[in-house]
Amino acid sequence: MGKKKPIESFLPLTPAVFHVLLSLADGEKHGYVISKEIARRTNNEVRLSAGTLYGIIKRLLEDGFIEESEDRPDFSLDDERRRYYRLTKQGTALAEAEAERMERVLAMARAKRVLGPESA
Amino acid sequence: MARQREAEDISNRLFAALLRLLPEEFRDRFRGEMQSVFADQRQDAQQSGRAAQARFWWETIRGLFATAVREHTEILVQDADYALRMMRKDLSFTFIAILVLGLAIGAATAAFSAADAILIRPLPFAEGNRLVQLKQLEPAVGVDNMGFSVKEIEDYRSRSRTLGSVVEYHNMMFTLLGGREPERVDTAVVSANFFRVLGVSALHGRTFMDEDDGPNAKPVLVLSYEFWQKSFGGDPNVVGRSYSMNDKEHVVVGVLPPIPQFPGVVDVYMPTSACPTRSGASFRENRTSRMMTVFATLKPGVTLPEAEDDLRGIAKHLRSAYPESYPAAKGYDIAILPVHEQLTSKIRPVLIGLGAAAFLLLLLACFNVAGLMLSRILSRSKELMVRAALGASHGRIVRSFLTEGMLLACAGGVLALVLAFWSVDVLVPFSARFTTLASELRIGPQAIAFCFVLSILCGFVIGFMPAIGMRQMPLFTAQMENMSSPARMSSRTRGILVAGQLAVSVILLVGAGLTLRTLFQLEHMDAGFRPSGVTTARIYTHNDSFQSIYHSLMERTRRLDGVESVALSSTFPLSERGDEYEYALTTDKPSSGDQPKPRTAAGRAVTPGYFSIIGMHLLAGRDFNEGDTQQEPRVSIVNEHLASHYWPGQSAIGKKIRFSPSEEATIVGVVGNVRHRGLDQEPIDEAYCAFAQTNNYFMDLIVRGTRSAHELAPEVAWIVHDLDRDAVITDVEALTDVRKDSLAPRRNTALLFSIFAGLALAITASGISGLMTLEVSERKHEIGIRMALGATPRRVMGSMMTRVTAIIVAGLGCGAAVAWLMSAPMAKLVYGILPRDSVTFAVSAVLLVVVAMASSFLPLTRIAKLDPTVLLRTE
Repeated sequence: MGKKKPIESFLPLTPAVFHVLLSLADGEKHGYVISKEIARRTNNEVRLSAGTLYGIIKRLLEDGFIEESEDRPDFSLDDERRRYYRLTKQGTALAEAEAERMERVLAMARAKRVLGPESA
Repeated sequence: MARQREAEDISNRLFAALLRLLPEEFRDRFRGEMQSVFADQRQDAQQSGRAAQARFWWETIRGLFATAVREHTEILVQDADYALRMMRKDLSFTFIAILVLGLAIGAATAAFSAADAILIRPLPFAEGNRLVQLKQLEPAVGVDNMGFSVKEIEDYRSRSRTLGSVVEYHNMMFTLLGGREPERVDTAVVSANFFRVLGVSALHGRTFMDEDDGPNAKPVLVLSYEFWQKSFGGDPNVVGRSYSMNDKEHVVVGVLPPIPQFPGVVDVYMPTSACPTRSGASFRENRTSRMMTVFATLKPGVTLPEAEDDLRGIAKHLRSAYPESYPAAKGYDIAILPVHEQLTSKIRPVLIGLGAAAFLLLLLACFNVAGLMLSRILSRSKELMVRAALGASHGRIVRSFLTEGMLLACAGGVLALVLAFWSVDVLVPFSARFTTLASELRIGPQAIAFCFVLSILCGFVIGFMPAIGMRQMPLFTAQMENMSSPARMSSRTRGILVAGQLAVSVILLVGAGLTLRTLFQLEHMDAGFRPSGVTTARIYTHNDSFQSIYHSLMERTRRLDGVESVALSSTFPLSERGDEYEYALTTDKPSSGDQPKPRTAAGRAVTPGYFSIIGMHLLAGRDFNEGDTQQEPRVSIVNEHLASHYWPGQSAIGKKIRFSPSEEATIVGVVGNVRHRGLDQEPIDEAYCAFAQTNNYFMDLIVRGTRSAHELAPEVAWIVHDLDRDAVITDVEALTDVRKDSLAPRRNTALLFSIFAGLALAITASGISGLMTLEVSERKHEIGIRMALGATPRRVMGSMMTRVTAIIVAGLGCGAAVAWLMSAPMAKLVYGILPRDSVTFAVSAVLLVVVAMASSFLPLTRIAKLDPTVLLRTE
């Protein structure tokens, strides 16, 4: 159902959803790593508890922006309870669309001198 | 280490418990992962210190709650959307379900709002909960409320330690002059603190002040809201105007707001000093001039028994201080009872009965709609199996039923509120016949909240009952090929639901039957008089030559066209007005046996001919005649009840009775018993006096003839005003109407119960019809095989009727048993028959069986039209 809706109708994303997509941009991850990576990247500003994280994952799965990966790590490193998620093409497109939207907003802020010029 | 593991264990268990907040499907899908993430995050937090741990728990719990709310809402929206689509698809089911639920919830809401306004809520007065009525009694002579004298009020007011404010009240009828025409006004004579104690402020002007109630105070009046509207058109300028009353100018000082009047509905209020009787010196000084009703507030913290002890102490003092006023033979005592109890005693059993009927109707509606839901769910069983096969859990499917039930019940609730608002117009006049608190009845926030909660409960019940019936459905084993099995398995549940409806219907039918039979008994009861052809009119005159005025009035009325005979009486049977005196009668010399205990008797003044006009039987002796004048020795005619009480087996003629030590009369006649105080009230001792030997200013004109009250009214009024310009004539009405009107509370109660029973019967008939239609359609295949094997349609119908009969017998048996056991509460609503009246039970049972059989037979006739070859081919 979600796949049929245009990407723009999902924008803007909440920071938490955008960070989950970003976290999966460089490869598949399981839930704990996603939350850990987001906390590290945002300097603990965005922290996702299990409830919040899996609420987001469920919706992204249903809308077809992420999918479960069947590749599992080495048996010795694996926890069978964990599932690995990766971005789908639509998911990548959604992350890009949100990033572009934010870029446009930033450009506007610069034009209005709310922000200083982009540093080299 | 062990401690740490224990802590981890507790944390995991706590998290597992919190996961239950999430919907089942979500939980099943992500439980393992979430627990793993939780364990890892907890470990991180543990390493970062206590603050981090606290923050971790806070974020975990908050996140779970937020996700749970979002997920549940999402499911609810999906289910509601699905349910609405299903409801739109089957509009006839939706319409019937909403109508049935709306009627039942509406009836329950209306019953609740009446009970809440009248029985539950405290009195709408400042100290309503602490308001009590005081009663002086003479138990040895059967007097249970003899009123208070001025001296007694003063004693109780000054001596009591437990009473806060003491208020006095008595009722008088006065003529108000100065308006468009003389008007007879029902007047409450009250102490100045009356409105202050009740916490009532004036709408216009003011209420009474202490200065209004002194020996030299100017007479003032306060108008009731209803009287102000009726007689002054709601003109606020009436405040300050003067009107003549009792030959004195009275100034209107205020108008009351529209409040429930207490203790009775009157037109105007005046302070005690303005009442000519109450302010007379001899009346005030006479300890036995008892006329007033006394109310009081209990001091804060004082209980009823404490107040009773206190008042009994005062009564004891009065007995010893004034033995001549409190003869030991009469056994003087005092009693106290909450005003709320007093005001609601008549309506309590009626409201309890209606509440029970409304509850039963609600139960029946739930059974009915649950049965309809179950049938509908069964017709969707293929679709449900597909949903189950696609992964919908049992809980998820049950939840969708609940959502559908809730939607139906909430729509029913909206209809119910509309009906409840409308019912106020019916319930207020109905309740007003029993209590003045009826004016408090309205659909307020409590009733709306009650309606909402009831709708939710009904939604839960009608959604959950089918879920119980579906428990055994092989949805989840997906036995798609065996479609008849779910239907069979829930067939029993449907049977139980229909039996439940039948049981409830029997109870309501018996309730309605008992109230109708009671009404029938009372309507056809020989009350000791013949009302047909009799017209009555109340006449008030203050003219000193009232005897000659009344004499002329009778003479001139007798000459009117269509009038056969005329008499006067101080009151007449079933009259709610008029003067009726209670005497503690004593007889002269009992002719045999022990001295009978003195008893009270009702005293009435009548003119010659009254008994024959009203159709009372003269059993012995003579009627009054023109010779019974003031100059002649006093004579009296007593009723059979009194005669047989004092002189059992002997003639009462010639015996003497005493109304007071100085008032003695010789009995010259005995008349039949009359039910004066109500058709459901047993006759009491009555003693009639000759009008010419009494001093009754206010009389009822009793006319027998061929003309209606409506035709006679203007002519009689003209004669009255021609004889006395200031006389007032009111309530010209046919005695048949008086009799009919006296049964209005009973008639309305029976009508309400009949409406409940009629609704119950209609709902049950539709339930049975629905059950049989479904059975026939479900068992088409089986019927086809049986008919192909040679069974006749009649035989197939017969076997299905056997099942219906079993359901009817079960429902009828259970309902009749409950109705049988409910005889004690029903006893308060019946008269003249037993609460286990066999005729009522039999008629109710027969009616229900006929309706049930008829409504099940129609769907069965479809069997005769079925073609077995077509059936087998389609199946």
